[in-house]
Amino acid sequence: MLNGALRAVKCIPGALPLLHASQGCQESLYFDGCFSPVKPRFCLQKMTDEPFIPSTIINEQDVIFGTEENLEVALHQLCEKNAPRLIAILTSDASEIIGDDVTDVMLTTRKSVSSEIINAEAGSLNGDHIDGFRAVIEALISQLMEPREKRDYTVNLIGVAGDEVSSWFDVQELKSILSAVGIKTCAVLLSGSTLSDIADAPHASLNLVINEEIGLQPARLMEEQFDIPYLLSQPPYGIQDTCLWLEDVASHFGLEERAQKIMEKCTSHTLHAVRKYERDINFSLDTGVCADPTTAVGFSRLLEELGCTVTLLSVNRAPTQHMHEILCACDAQWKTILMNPDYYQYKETLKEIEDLDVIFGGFIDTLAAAEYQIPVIELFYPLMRMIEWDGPLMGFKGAETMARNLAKYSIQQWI
Amino acid sequence: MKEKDCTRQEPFRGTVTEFSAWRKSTEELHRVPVYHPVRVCALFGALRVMGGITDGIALTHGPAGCAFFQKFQISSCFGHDLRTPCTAMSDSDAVYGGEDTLKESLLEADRRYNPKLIAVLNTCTPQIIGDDVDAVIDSVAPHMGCKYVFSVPADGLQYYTQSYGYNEALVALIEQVFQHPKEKTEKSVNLFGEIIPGMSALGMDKYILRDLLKRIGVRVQAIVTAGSSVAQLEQAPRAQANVPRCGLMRSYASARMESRFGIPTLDTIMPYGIKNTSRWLLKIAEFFDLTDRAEDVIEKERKKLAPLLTKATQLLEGKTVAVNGGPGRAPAFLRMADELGCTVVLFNMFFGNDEVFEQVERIISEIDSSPLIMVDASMDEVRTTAEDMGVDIWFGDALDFPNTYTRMALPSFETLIYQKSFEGFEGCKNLLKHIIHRTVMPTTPVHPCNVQRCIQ
Repeated sequence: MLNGALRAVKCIPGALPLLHASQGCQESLYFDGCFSPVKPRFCLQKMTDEPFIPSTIINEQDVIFGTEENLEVALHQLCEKNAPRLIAILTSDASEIIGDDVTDVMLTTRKSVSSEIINAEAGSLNGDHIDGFRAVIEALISQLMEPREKRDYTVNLIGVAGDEVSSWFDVQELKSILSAVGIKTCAVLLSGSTLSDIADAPHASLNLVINEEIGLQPARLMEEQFDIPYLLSQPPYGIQDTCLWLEDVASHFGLEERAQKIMEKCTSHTLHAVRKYERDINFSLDTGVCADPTTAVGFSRLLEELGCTVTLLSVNRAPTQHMHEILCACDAQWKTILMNPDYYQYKETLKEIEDLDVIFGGFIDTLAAAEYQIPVIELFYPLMRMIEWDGPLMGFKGAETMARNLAKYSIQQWI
Repeated sequence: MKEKDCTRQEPFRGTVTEFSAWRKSTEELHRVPVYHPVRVCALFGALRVMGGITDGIALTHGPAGCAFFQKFQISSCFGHDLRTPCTAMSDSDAVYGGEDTLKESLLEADRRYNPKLIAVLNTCTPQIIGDDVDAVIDSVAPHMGCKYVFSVPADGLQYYTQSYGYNEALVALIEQVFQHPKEKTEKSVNLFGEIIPGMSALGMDKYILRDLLKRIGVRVQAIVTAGSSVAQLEQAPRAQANVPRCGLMRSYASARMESRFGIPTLDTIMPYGIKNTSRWLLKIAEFFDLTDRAEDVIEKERKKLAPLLTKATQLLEGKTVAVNGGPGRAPAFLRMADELGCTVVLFNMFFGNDEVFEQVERIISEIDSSPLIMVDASMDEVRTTAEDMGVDIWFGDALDFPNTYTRMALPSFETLIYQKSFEGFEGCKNLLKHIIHRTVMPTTPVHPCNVQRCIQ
């Protein structure tokens, strides 16, 4: 969870994390930051910089006597030395169990420093990296945002993890689709939106939940606090689902007619682009998709749309009710579906499945599949290999990108 | 452990003389609240020891995040699919105790993997909430097929470095697994503390050292632990001496071996380069009175490696070097840099203890360089200092990657992440070739990415 929270902070330009954790947590996250091949393109720590992850380094004395004083000193030091626009205190299991009053320290310190400070509960006992990411978004909503006057035809995109391989391109694609229909995007939580963009998020008249695991609860929180409704729709992967998504968004604003024109134009353009690659794609590929629920469902539907067969769908955590319904309504020919499997079960399943040609997943899949010589294309967090990705996975352009890359992969395999 | 561990938990920066005074001082250490050094978690150290046992399992008792990160670190760098089962403690475990969860996990790990050994690695959370891990083990062990089940303290709260974890794990093995021998194996040693990850432990290095020792008539009784089975480890006390991998073990784990089984520990440093390997071999040979045989081997190997060494020396003569690493490799790199004709201007060690600091001081007194010494500095500080000093070459550790490869664009030499052996005379060939290659190969700084470039 701490890692997810750190990922979220990295996606806010000008923000610094302050781990309220023991030494080991800091080091593990530093290591991840050093070797993770994907870093947000816009964050304070640029691609070539080493991650800077200050920590209060809780020790056994702190466990007994508490560590609030130490946290206060740390906050002041960080403000003096680095002057970040935002400090996100990320608490860990240790600080949460000993019961430090972090909120009190935060409120006291806020008065005497120029940086904004938020506090997110990110101890691993509370959940996984998705929960950690979400905890930071929720902290931003509840501790930084204030009610604003609503602006017509504006939306926030909620639940985008800015450090995924394709997220920067995805956001550009979704923004441009919305813009073509006449809808302006206020803030993207969290992918590259500045602190002032984030603070202005309550101006929006609708929240679009892009990834349900990350975005649904923050969207509900914003509805509760700022009376902004949210929209849950089909994940916008592939031509068909992007059209469904756009229809839903447009109908909220009464822009169906404009949306229809855009959909026709983009569908025609994308189909034309995809057909260029059709002759090169090996449609007999049996593929596996392993990712978080929204991504796994959306991406596998995109693959099916492009003519591939998805024989294994492994969903890393329990899906939301809405995502579960989408999953049940799919007519895809999955032979095996794994829900929240542990590593051992996952490996056992890979051993049993004989006809898997390629897996789209992350570094865990690379490790697990290596023993069975199944190639893995790492696209989803966490990644181990450096990957050069050149376009979105979402939206109309997502279909084109995927078709191009599938064709490239098929040719490489054939050679 | 507390009296004798391990590492000094305070950063240092200064000259050789100041370093000498600092390491001998007993002033109370001050706390630095905002801190950004690179010190690896005790859990990682314990996992490195236990993960090396071929028929053993290390069960992490803690939240899933702890186990995941250790797996990520080991696997992302070395591609090694280490089994890291975990009790995945939840918030209800934190409230009601994690003992039941541990019990179930132990039984499940035993059923799934059928191991001969399960080491329960205790992380921060069960330590804080006070799980009685040993009582759980006692209650469940009779129902398991596993021969050895024991716990290892591996929390990052007490000591800040991995040395605490791996010393404790080695001690647990010494006390729980190692058996009192009926007889000793003549002229035999244990390669002690060969732990994963790192190609040195996973790959050929340990076999290169074993073959080298065989040439002088010394047998390796056990490699503790990487690549060894429980049965092999049980027989480790048959050895006559321990050859520790790094000075951090000498004061604690190796000392325990000495007190429990009467096996002395030899004062060696890691065999990188010709000089270090020669000294390593001579030290072992002296113990068994085999110096003549060792000198013959050294002479032959020196002649074989002379052309490569000359080429490397010609390239590196007069260059300034920054040495950066852990307490095992960094002292060895120091002497190796001197052997290659370089001047070490900056020496940074992630952490160390009295034995290691003494070793460093001794090596510095033997070589021509008088470097600025840093201990436990942040990577940013090390990089800035190296840039200010205008160093030509970087001898470092895996964590230097962001510094050297992408920002400083310096020729750099690193032993951990390459799939090659670098130790002993055999490894020295690779090592010299690698250094020559890295020095000759042009390096280009990678510019920070910006949005415009990404769009293009």
